[in-house]
Amino acid sequence: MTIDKTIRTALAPFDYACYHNTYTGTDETYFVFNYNVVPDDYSDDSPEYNRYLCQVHFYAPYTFNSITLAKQVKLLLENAGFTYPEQVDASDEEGQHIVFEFEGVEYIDREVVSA
Amino acid sequence: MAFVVRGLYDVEEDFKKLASVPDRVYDQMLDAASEVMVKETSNAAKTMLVGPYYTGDLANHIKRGRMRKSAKNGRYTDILFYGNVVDKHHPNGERRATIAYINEYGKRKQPARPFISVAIDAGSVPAVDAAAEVYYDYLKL
Repeated sequence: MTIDKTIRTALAPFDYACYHNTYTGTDETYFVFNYNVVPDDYSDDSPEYNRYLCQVHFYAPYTFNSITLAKQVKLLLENAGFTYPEQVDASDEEGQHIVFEFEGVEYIDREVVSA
Repeated sequence: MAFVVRGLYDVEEDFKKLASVPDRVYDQMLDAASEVMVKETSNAAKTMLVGPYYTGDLANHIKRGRMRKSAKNGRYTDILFYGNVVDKHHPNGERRATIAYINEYGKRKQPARPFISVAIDAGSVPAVDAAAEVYYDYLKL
């Protein structure tokens, strides 16, 4: 399963829109995720794994009680195989914006190229 | 039959000497590590923040803060985005730290570009290596 799908599956129980990078729809409550990929665990000058530096963003209006949701998001992401996320409150005048930062790894399957 | 150990006292004294690193060495170690982090953060800003509004301003205004000491963190220093920017996109002025924060975490309709976390990841090992080099130089004295 790809990292995108793993994140989407982990957040599926909330039934909110979940998009990569940015959301241009009309919902006020939604998830957005993004990541950077760092090659890691080198052997013979070649990486064995990709390490994903991930962010999941939860946007909601200020009227939304996000305390329980934030706790659940962190546990769901941990259960999906990621590191337990750090939580940052990046809210502004437009509403709540909670950022969850965590890491994930993915084995580099070199068969993909030869297939 | 006797069992004699010689030199333990000297070894103990050597360890005590190693543990009592002078403040100036700590400062030099922090300085070396923060220099690496400033460079990594600047490089990440130059590569990741390129876009229609990119001016290169943020990458050129990163520095280390003054040396600090606290009971919780011991000796430490901050990496800072310093000053304000006033240009056509920010006619009333905006703190560079705010611009960096919004780039790092994004906002509605603006995707995050987490250049700081990438810089921390890329710089963590070289920064410790740079600090260690200063420490080993001190031990050679």
